[in-house]
Amino acid sequence: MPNCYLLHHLLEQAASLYPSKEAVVDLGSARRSLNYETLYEMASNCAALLEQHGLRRRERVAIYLPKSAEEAAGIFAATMAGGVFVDINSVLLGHQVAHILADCAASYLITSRREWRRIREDITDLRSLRHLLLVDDSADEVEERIPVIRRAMSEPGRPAGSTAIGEDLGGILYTSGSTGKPRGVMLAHRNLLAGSRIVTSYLEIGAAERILSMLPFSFDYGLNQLLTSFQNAATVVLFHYRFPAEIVRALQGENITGLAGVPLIWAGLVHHTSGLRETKLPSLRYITNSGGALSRATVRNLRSLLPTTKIFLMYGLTEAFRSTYLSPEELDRRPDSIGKAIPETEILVVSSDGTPCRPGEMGTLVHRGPTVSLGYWGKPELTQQFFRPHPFIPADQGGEMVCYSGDLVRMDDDGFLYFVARADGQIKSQGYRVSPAEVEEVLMETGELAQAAVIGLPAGDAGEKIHAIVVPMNSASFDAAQTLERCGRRLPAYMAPKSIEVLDALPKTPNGKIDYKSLRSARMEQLR
Amino acid sequence: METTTTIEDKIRNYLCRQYPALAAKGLKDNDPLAGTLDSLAVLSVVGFMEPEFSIELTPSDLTDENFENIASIARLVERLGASSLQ
Repeated sequence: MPNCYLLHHLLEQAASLYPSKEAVVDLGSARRSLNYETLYEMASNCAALLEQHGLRRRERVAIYLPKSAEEAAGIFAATMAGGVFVDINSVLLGHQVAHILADCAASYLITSRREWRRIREDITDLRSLRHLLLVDDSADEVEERIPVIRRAMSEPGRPAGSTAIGEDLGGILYTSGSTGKPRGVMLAHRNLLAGSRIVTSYLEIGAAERILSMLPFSFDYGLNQLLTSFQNAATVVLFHYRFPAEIVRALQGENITGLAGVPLIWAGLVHHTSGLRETKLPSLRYITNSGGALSRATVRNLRSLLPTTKIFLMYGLTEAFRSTYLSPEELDRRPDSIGKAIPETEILVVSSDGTPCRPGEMGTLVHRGPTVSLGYWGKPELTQQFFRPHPFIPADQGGEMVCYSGDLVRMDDDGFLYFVARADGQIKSQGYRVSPAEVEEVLMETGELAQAAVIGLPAGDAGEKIHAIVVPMNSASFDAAQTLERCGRRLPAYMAPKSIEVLDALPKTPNGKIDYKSLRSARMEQLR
Repeated sequence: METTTTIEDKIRNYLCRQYPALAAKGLKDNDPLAGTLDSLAVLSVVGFMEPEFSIELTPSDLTDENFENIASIARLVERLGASSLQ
């Protein structure tokens, strides 16, 4: 067995050592269990097809599928064939998928007939997209503009294999910033493997683990659950819920040992209709939170409802894959802390003048370590802004590139970190990063507005809710409800504005930009 | 004593207030809510229903059938309200 240095080696290794072990349980409409051998075959069949149809090294293979074994296999198939995976969240709508496909110039798209029908009208730029790979077996005519390959994972095939090395780009994860459309964070194979190795070590993930996966694989935190599970030949259980009790039933019925969630999931789990109070979950060894801070009340509830479960509070940003965690023993003493750097990693707190912050002083969180990504795809200026030389060690003395998070934190005397605020206008909604600009653009597309500004307002465990402040072209005929309805059709639920407010003009900063700070602070004042 | 219409209107008003997009469509009693009432919305609508109608929901009340549309939610409220009077 060769050393593991490429993403798909995780799957290859597990399949060669434990072929009949359960790799993925898919709790879709009907429960489906797949062992490592089957999943490996699905991925290698698909990789062989990609090679046959001309995939060249480093080309991008996008995957747009609902959470499924096929989605997982597609991610590994892409790198097995020497390509780069681009996993797209299936809650995104057609115009958003179109942006990602065009931005990274994807050559292949692995999807299903149903998903493609949902988005095809919006996919008008077909300059890069050479093939559509459908995971289902359907004779229906779905696309006449580009060649369609059916049964993308079930036709037996053996790929020649990738010639990539660990430094090569393995995947691109799209995430929002404070401006513009989502940008692609480039993760090298070695970033992905380091993230998996590091998280495995501090969560002490082993072969007996049964991990409940509720978060999308397009989200670094959700993807890492898949990688850590495969690295240890453990079992990952794919799951989607609507009602709190479904989470508890899945945890119990599948003997889940580990669960990663965002605050919204914990709000559901501690809700009185979840049935958790009446249920014992002796198998549940650990839970982890990321994607937003948990309220003290929720932490308290989780502690009392899950007395034998370890609770890890974590912090991460896609640009550096994973960053900090609070060890469970510290939770009672420092429930507000995001903890310390993950293994193999150092977190620096840097002041605005570039000097190290003293304990208690607020500064930018700067991450150095093996998970610092390669930057943003096709965005050199943005990359320079977030990825910079080590602030204190010159390059000619061994200083490397580090990641500036844009998040403001402080460190206490014992070295524990506390999140203070984001430095920019980025919104965190239901665990997702949302760019105000992207929502504003959809608002402006209605053609009814002269100006629009979008801010986040506190919404408990849901993070922030999207609030729109607009200046209509014609305030007499402006219909706020209709505008929100149109946004609701153009944006996934976590991005759609929940409220709208009409002003005669938006406040400006001295430089003539929209003054988001004053818009937000005035509304925060009203909420108080 | 509340009539069925009142329960349905109260739920409709709440939903339209929380999800303004629904108001524009003129939300009817039998319009499907599956796309609107996701996991987050379910928590918020339960948080509204319980004090508003003096009822308490249990895990088995939260089903796709009960949360299919306004009419089905109203039937659930009536059922739970009736049993709490006994």
